Amino acid sequence: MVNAATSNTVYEPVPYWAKLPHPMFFKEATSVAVDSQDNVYVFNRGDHPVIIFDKEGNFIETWGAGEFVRPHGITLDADDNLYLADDDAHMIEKRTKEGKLLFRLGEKGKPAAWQDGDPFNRPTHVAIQPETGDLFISDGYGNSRVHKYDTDGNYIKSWGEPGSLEGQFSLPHNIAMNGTDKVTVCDRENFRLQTFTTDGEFVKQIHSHRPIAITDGKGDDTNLYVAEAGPPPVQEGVRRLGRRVIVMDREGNEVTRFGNELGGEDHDQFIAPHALAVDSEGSVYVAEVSYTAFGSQQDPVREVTSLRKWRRVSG
Amino acid sequence: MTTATTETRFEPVAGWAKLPMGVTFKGDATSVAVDSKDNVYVFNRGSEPIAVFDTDGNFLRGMGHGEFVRPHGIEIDAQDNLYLVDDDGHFVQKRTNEGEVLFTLGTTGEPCEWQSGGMFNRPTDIAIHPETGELFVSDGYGNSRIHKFDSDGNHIISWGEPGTDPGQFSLPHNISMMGTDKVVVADRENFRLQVFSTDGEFVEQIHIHHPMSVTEGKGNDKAIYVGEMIPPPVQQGVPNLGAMIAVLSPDGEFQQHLGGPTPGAGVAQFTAPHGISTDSQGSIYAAEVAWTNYFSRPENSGTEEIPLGEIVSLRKWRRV
Repeated sequence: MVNAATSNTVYEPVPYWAKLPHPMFFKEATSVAVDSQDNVYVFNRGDHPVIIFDKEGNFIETWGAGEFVRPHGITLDADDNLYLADDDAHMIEKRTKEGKLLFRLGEKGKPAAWQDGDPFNRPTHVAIQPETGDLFISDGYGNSRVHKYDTDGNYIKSWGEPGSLEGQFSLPHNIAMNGTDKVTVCDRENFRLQTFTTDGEFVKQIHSHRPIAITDGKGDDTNLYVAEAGPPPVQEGVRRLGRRVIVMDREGNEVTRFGNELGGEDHDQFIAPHALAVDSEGSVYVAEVSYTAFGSQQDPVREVTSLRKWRRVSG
Repeated sequence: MTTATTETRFEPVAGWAKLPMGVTFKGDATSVAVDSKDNVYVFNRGSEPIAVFDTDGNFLRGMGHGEFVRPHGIEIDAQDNLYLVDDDGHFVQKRTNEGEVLFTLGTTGEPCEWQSGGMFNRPTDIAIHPETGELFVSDGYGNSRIHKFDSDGNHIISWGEPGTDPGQFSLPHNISMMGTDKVVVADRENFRLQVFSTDGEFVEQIHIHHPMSVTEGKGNDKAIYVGEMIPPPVQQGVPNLGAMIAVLSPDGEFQQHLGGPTPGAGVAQFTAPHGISTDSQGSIYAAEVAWTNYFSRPENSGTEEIPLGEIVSLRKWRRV
């Protein structure tokens, strides 16, 4: 286990990290999680929705073919169970790491009424309280809400509504624990992070450029990791507008950042970061929806890099 | 007029501007300023680029026909001179109240290099120091910069660069004085206001939804009025996201929203409050780019062609 990164910490990209058995492909790797053994779970939109690698990028196994509508978010708990958010299926599934279904929240394929606040309308991500196992779900593309469940999936409460004031959301896209008593939400289209107590009391907001993904460090690494999305079309091509990873302390103070000033396909660039995870060595995995954002618009369409590893090399 | 608060009541004035037959804003009133007599100047993309009204909305005169490329921003100084910002023309022009050109900053039709920090690449708005007459220009669609000039148009300093940190910009779209020692910038695609000293020192940032326009109240009204743009397409139709006027306290605390909860042509709604001003009575004028930013999109209007009839793009909300 590593300590929290500092401003002296150096990260470097690991080119071609994931080694996919031919002809397996991601199409795009929407989200990524790391288990207690530092194995890496990639929830993707190819024909094999969950693909598992060791930390060197060697393929271990895959499961879930045909069982998901649109993979979106993946989280692992302390016992290495998986929580999979499928936005277009309007469901969250808890599965063992071997893929066995333990329970499902929401009814597969049946959304709650748009923006009514009930679970779920295109939920995006899950955070798990490390001691109680309570679940916090960001919801999502068709709602403006965070839902809290106990560890068995019993509903506890919800908060949030559409808007731009404190406690309101415009596309809550990711959620992470912030210590054991708070959660931080990527309020994506409000260009801010919002932190709440685990009871849903607003604590603070932090400006961020279209924050799309958040995760917390493992063990003694108390930092939060935030991936920022790129700008709207009117600002396309302008430098330093998102497409990078910000490492911050729990108060939201920036520690360091990495990624090029411009998006792209080079090893130090991002195209469309969408989720991230950190392993016990402090290395960072970033999953990107780079097919949706870029590859699908090429002629001919093509798969482009959608999973990056940045190794923590010093500091 | 006192500073507007949560208690202050505003009500929309339907059909305020009385346009003579043949005069049209073409759906894009774009920007508005009020002079010392509470006359209202609308810098628009229609037939009379500078259309002047009295406080009751009676048309007084039109100016500037054929003299602008794409009207974007207007401000009026303490002597009732006009400052006009033409983004696609890449210039800022000072004119007398009657429309005579006093000076032009920038060269018409000749931008500086994109995002180079020079002057100008699609400038957006201007603020004028009430005592010194110094000018602060936000620049803009092709730059990430604030330029400061003295009252004669001599360049003093510039600040800002592309980015999201304090002091960086992603489309600085509007600028206003805050008292006599600060300016506030609508950092539009960063979803925040940024406050600077008049020397360009960063003071603070204030979170707000997609700010297009910003102005300070007149006289003793020290409230900040912000026009919020609609959300990006992914959030289309979600209530309480932009297309509203936010009223903030002088230190940036939210007081109330006008309009909403969704965009529209209704009397108490907005589509794209692109320019904003207040008068001595505390009333608010909002000039919209209703065609360009809203109704030109088929998902909003059902058509790709500008309709024959006028599209509402100028709003007055009376302080009651």
